[in-house]
Amino acid sequence: MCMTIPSRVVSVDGNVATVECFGVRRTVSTVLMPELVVLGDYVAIMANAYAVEKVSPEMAAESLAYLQEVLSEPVVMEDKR
Amino acid sequence: MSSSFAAEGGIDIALTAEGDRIVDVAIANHRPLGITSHLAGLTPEVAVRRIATLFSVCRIAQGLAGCMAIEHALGIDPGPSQKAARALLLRGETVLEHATCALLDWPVLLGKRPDGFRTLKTLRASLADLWDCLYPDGDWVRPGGGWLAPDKTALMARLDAAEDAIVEARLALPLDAAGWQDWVRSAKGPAAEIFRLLEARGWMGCGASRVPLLDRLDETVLERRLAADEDGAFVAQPEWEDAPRETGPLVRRIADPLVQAVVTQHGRGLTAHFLAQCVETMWCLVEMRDLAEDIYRDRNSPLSEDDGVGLGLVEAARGWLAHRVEIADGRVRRYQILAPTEWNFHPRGALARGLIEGCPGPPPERRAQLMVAALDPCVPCRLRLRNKE
Repeated sequence: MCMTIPSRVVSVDGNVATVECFGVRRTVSTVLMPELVVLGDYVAIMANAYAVEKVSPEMAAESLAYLQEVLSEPVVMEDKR
Repeated sequence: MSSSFAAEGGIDIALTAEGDRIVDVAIANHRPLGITSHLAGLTPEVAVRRIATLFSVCRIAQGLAGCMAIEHALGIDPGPSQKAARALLLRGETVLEHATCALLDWPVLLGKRPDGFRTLKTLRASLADLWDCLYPDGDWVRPGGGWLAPDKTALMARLDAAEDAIVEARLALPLDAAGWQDWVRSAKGPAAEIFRLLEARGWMGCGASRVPLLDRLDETVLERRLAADEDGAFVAQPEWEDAPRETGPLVRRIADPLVQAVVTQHGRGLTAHFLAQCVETMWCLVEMRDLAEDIYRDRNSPLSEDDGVGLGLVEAARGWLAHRVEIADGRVRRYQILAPTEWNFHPRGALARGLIEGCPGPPPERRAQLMVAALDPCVPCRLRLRNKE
C-alpha cells in the first residue's frame, strides 16, 4: 500500500505540473484534482503520476519533517531464497 | 539491487526466462517498511492521525486499522453504529481503488491512453471524503469512534453518484455467468476489453498459482507473530503456517458464483483476478446501502490512559491490513503495519509462483505486466527481463 508524500508544485502547464519532494522533481497530471493547482501548493500524488488532492502547508510540513527522519535509513528486503 | 524509486519506494521484479518460460523471479521490495518506527512517543490519537496522513490514498483502511488496534489495546468497544459506519467507509474506499485501477491502469495494459478522468473525478468526489456525510466534525479517525451524526440524504446522494459513475465507467457487469459472457462480447470500456483480450488470446488462466489463500487470520496467532518480529522480517516477507499466502479481492469473492465458475474453468489466473475486482465493486455498492441502514447517531467512547497491546485488522481494497500497537504510559511504545502488498509480492508468493507455474500465455514481460496489474501492488513496479544462457 502506497505512502503519500506531499510534493510542492514548482511549475504548472495546463493539466501537467512539476512537483518537488526531497530534492527530486517529477511530472504529474493534475487532471484528477478537484481544484485549481497553483505554484507553491502541496499535493498528494497517486500512482506516481497523478496529483489527487491538496495538502495544507501545515500538514505537509509535519509529514515531511516526520518522513525526513524516517527515510534517512531506507530498508530494502531482498529475495532471501 | 539499488533503488532509484521516488521516496514512496517501489518493487523491483527481475525475471529470468528460458524461451517463453519464466524460470525464476527475484523480487526486491524497496518500500519504506520502517515508516512507523518513529511513531513511538506520540499519543495514540496523534499517531493514528499521522498514519492516515502518510497513507492518504488508502487513508480509510490505514486510519481505521490504527483506531482498531488502539481500541483493542485500551479495551474499548466503539459499538455497532461506529462499526457499521467504518465498514461502509472501507467499502467506499475499495470501490474507489478498484475503479481507479480499471480506469487508469487497465487501458495502459490494452495499449491505450486512459480517458476516464471525468468519471474518476466524479467517483473521487463521491467517495474519497465520504466521512463528511457521517462525521460532521471530521473525526472518523478517532480511536473510540468519532461524533457520528449521519446525514443520510447526503449519503444516499453520494452513493447514487458513485453508482452512476461505475455505470458510466462501464464497470457495471452482470453477475451471472451467461450475462457476463454476453457483456464481455459486446460491452465497451477497459474492463470488457481486458476480458476480451484474455479470451481471444487464450490467456484466461494465465498466471494461476497454487499459493494458498489467506482466507482467515487468527488474530491471537498474528498478534504473537508481530510481537516477536523484532527485525521486521515477518512484515517484509510474511508467511502463514509456513507458506506464503495470497490475499485480496479474489480471496474475498471466491465464493461468488460467477467468480467461482471462472476459477473452476480457468484457475486463479488473470481473468479470475480482474473479474474479482469488478464483482467486488458491484457488491460493495450494494453492501454500502445495507450498512447505511445500521448507522445511527452515536457519541464517541472516552479513551483511557491504560497500557496495553492491540491488533487492528481490516479488509482493505488489496487484502488484509494489520496494525499492531503497544501503549505504555499513555504513549505509543511500538507500532507495526503488515500490508497486503507484502503477502502478494512475497519472493515465493502469488506473483512469483503464478509467473513460474502458470500456463505460458503472453511473452514473459507482458505476462508479468498483466499479473502485476491483476495483483495490484499500489506502488511502482519495475520489471527487468534476463534470458537464460
